[in-house]
Amino acid sequence: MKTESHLEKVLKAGQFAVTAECGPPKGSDVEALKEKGKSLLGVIDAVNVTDNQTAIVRMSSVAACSILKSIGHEPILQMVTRDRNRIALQSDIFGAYAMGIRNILCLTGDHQTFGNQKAAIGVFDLDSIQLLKTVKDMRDEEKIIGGESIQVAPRMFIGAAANPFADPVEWRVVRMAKKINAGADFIQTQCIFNMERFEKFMAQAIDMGLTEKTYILAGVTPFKSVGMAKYMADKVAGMDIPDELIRRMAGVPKDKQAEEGIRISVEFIQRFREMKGVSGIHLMAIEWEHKVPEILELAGLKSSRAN
Amino acid sequence: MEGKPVKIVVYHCKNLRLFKDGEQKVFNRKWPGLSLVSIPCSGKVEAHHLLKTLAGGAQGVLILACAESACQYLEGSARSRKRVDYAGQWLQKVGISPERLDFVRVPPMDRVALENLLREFTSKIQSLEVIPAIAKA
Amino acid sequence: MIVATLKEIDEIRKMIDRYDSVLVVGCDSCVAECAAGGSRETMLLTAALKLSYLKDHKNPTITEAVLDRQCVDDFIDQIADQAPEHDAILSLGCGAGVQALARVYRDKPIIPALNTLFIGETVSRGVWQENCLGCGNCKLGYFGAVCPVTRCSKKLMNGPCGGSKGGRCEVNPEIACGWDMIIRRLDALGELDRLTEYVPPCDWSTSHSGGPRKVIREDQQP
Repeated sequence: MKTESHLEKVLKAGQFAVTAECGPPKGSDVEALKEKGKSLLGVIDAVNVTDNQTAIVRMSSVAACSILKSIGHEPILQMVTRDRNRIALQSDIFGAYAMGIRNILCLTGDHQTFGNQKAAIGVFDLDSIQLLKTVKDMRDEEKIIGGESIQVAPRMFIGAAANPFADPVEWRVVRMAKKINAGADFIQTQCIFNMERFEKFMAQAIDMGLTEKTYILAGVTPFKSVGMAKYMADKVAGMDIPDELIRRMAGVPKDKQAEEGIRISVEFIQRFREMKGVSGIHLMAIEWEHKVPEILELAGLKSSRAN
Repeated sequence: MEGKPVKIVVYHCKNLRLFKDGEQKVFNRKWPGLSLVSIPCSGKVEAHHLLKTLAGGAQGVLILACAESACQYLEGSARSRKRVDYAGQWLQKVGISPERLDFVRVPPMDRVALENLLREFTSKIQSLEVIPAIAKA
Repeated sequence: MIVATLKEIDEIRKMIDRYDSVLVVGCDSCVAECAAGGSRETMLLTAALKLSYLKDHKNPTITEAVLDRQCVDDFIDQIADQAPEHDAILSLGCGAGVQALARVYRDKPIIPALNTLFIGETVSRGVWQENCLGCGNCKLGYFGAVCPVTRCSKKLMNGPCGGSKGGRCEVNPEIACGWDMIIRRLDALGELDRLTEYVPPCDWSTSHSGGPRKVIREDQQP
């Protein structure tokens, strides 16, 4: 074991891991955050706490991780390089670890022009891969950038994101390999809707021996409606949603679409459980966190979990 | 012609061959206030020329160009159109009607068409409120 | 070259309305190439300002002049006679030109007529592309002569990010993905191997992050 992370323990034991995303509130509403967190308690192995996702200002991910930990969660701190330079990034990692946070997901982040602070400066002092290497060096070498030693190194279980569907397609596995070499212990993928392409991506990853070095968690997002499916297909960066899925959503009456969306997610989860090289799933039920237990139950994954 | 003569400047491409030697002077006498300026190609006229002409006291500026396909310099007529539009945008910015500028592709050597066009343009400019400051300039 | 665009005339008027006489000074170097502040634009802006004032029944003195280069003292001398006769100078130079005029004419208000944007190239007539951020530590040799610092919206050194789609950037489909260009070019050159190596964090101290920079060459000094 590299760390004291519960998620690492689950993955190392070969259990099919379940993580889910929880977005902090737009404000300082601790109760709202706890409420959201409670609906996920006991059904997942770790909770991803987003860091000003899509560049919209929300409660700090470090603070939200700490609050969720206080109600019994195993948080995964998402950290983007868009808003913080290397001084702030490293400092926040020290702080997060000091507060008992044991997992980190290193990201570059959506560009600031997507959010509600379009006039902001984009920092991008490091990119996600450089952040991965930084966290790894902090843990394994006990050094910060530049080589200075630290007292009580933060021993984080380190994650990275991968998008099998962005372009150039042939470069996606190479980039994931780069992330793994830089220090990614686990990978959480972008939401997967195109199974065929994902299977190809996984086959390549297995060929390159990447699944021996890292744990891959497949991204799952349930559609609430055909409108959401279309919106994601057209407007969200890096999505690949086959027309066939949109037709399937459109084929059921409006009041049954949410149910259909969940059914699709459940089918996908079942396929991921069978898929070689996939170590778990990452559920991103956007503003639909309370549906996570139901989805997991339908997928036969609602064994009581330690966290 | 009706109304008081207004100062109008006409830039016309010499390839339109609207006037033979000496004819321009005779024609000019019929149109008080009109200044005819022969240019080698309508593409030679730039936005700053047009604005300068107006700032210099003209109430309207007309650019006469060859058909796009007939331009001796290939893209002169096409570029001229864009420049006149650009100058019009500047007029709009300073709060002056862009109608004071007009770009027209006319048939060569057609004096009748020219006179009709001038009559129309003049009456349009006359219908616009005279901006005294511009007239004074 | 330095690429700039003209400010809106309303903004310029707000800054110069208080003066009775203004010398409009263009620059025939970079900003002439990008059609923002050369002779043509100086004449255009001067005429537009005159029209704008005439319409408001005002008649300030507006004189035009163009320098071959506004950021070098030897050229700034070209307006030595005109400058003292005006209350203010409206500069169509880039930010460097404006500040050079202010250094030379200490007692004269210098007003910018342009927004200075970037270091770029003329990629086709009427199209200018930003392609250098002046980071002070050129790594183009490793990236197929496509700058990741400038051409990637997120300055990724280990790109491309997950938002690259069909060669376009997630920020805006008008923006070509810099990393897509890097990969294609290195692929064509048979040098894709350059990209499998991890690129460590940049040293930004050579960029503006290290404070305003200065180059001093003794061999060039008088």
